[in-house]
Amino acid sequence: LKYLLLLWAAVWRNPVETLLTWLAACAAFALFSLMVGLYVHTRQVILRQRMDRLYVVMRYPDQPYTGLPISLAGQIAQVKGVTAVSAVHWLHGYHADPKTRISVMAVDRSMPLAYPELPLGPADWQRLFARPDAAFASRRAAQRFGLRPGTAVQVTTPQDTQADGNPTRVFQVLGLIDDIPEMEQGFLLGNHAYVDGSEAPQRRGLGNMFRVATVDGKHAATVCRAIDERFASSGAPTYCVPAQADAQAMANSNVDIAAITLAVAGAGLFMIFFLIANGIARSVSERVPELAVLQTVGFRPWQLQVLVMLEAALPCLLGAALGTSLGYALTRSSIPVLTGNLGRLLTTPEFPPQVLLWSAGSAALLALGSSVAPLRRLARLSVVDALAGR
Amino acid sequence: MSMRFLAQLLVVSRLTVAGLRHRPGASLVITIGMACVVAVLISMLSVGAGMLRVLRASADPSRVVVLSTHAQDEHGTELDRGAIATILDAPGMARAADGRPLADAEVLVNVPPAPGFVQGSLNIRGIGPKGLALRPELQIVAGRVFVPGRHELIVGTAARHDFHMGVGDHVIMPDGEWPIVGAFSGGGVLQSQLMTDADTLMAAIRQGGFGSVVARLESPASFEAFRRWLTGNPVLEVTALRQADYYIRAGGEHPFYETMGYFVAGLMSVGALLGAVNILYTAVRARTREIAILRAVGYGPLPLAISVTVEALCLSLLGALLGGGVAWLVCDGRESIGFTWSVTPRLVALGIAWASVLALLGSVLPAIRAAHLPVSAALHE
Repeated sequence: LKYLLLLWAAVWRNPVETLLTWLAACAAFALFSLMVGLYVHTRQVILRQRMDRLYVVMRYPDQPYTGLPISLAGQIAQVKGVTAVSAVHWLHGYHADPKTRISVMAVDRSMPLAYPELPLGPADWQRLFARPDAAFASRRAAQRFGLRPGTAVQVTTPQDTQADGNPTRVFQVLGLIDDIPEMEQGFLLGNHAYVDGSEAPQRRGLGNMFRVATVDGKHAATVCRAIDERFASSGAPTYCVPAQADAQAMANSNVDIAAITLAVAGAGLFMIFFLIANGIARSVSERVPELAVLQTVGFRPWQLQVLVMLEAALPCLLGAALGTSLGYALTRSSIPVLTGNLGRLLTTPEFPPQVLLWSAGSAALLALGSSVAPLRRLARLSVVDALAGR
Repeated sequence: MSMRFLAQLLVVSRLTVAGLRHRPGASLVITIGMACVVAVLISMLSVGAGMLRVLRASADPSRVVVLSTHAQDEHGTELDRGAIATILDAPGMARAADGRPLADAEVLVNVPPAPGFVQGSLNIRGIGPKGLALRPELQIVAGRVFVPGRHELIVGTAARHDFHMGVGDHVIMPDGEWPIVGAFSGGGVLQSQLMTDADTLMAAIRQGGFGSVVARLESPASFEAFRRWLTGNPVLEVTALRQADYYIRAGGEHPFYETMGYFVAGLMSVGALLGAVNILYTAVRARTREIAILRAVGYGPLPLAISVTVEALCLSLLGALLGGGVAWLVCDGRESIGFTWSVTPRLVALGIAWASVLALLGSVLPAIRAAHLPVSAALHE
């Protein structure tokens, strides 16, 4: 208790300055948590993708008859190392309002083998393929579009009309499924047979990509090369890439966002380090006679050192706690600056829990670093000189 | 403003600045704080500035890009040869030596780089007979120009660097591997692309339409008449853009980095501002007796208040210069795919202005405190 009282008295010697220091630490840690959150999230998105899952798309997607012939699936399946191949037809359009973008991933019956990570059980797959217009909505998509099991969802695709010219397809939502990391905004899963059957005759039998499963990720590059070589001189040359390599390339398409976020987070902490270190150093310097008195009345040097360290730790830990909470609140806010691409990056659906560890660890390091100079000063403290005011 | 006031301000400011060396720790807090804010701000904005510089270098005020109204950029195939012929009849176009319009129908194709899984994708631009004449800034720096009709490519210097491609290398195309026979520099974003003959490329990818028409006008002033003729023509569904406007519209991730830069620097500024207020309050507290004595001998409260702002400004400017220097050392010339980061004088000026505003804001409350210190009580401290 006497420690607590001493700590309390030390902290509140200059209330305005103490509050300002805490608030500054809070702002620095808010930035830190946002940047670290972004870094961790970016890494997670990449690492959650697997090297043994491949995407095969058209090498030259600008051809007028866009679409990858589904018939290639059989040949891809014959490539050594491939265990399953499934065709995907993406429908990109809008729901109700042209501004409300929606995408449906229409998949064929091989998808449970080619992409077993999709969160559907055997019974769900059966239900999906039993009904042509069936769809499953991920929870985030359901929230965005107000969907629930049993509702119908209209998807209008002006660029991808049906055989009769109607651009709108209607899907019946059979159930809700968990979201997956690679589609953060949520997704709808549909039946490829229905989508393909509704296309104009000349567009039938075409997809956007194949999902391919392989025996292991070590040989992904070899398998991809073999697939691309097989179709290099055909009418539909392919481009094969492992899902993880694709995610990595997407993350670093222009600049290394991960490196930037860490640099900014570090700069914020570096800035606040000087403020806190200076505050503690000044506080100890001003209280030298008081500390000498404490030592005279029986406090051991190590006890005074702990007191100084706690004084340094308080703004760091409090700043980390409040700042990280503020960072979390910002990722859930809808302030204008967070509505564009930056917002999509920062307001990720999940706030990685690792951010808490990073913040706590950094706060501890900051406290330790800030108290080095005052501790050295304490170590050199001469009680007699201090009491004499020298 | 009286001479007496100015003299007092000068004396007090000199005293303040001279006193800074007695408070190195506190001075460092403001300087480092501002340096961090400015370094982060300039670094983030230098990404966007680098992108913009490449885009601007790509543009010529007298060059225009004509696109289909259905296309967002040149990666399209909507312009058939009939539409191209009509577009070439538009008024205001400069003429080549052969008397034909200085305009070129072009096609732009995305090709994944091969082999391996590297970042970005190759853009191959198919150009026509006037494609090089339209762009006098392009220089062949190695090898030679492709021969129309042959499966040959030339590579821009940025693409050569980013994708490790050189003269003699091959690119996988639908009808086999095409050799790179030359390298070119100049042309801004074009340097990140490969070029070949448009008709040969379109035959290879079995594509019948063009993505754009690039034309040189007689003068930039001819643009409006040119645009009106095209958009008013009932047989055409096209839009015409000045090249600079097109590149800004099509190429822009730079607003993202600008938003991120301002957002991050804004949040950091809150921390730096609070830190500065804290330090300046401490400085005023440390100078209580000095301020009281000055007041007692006749100095007015305003010069004393302004001296606090002067202190904040001096330290912040030092920090801004430090931050700007660090950003310049770390970021200027840093290479990314298709562009290099650019720390421009405008960004450094922005950093200095940003730090100055923070200094002014941060010094308001401590300055008021300095001006309102009770003289008699302060003298007793």
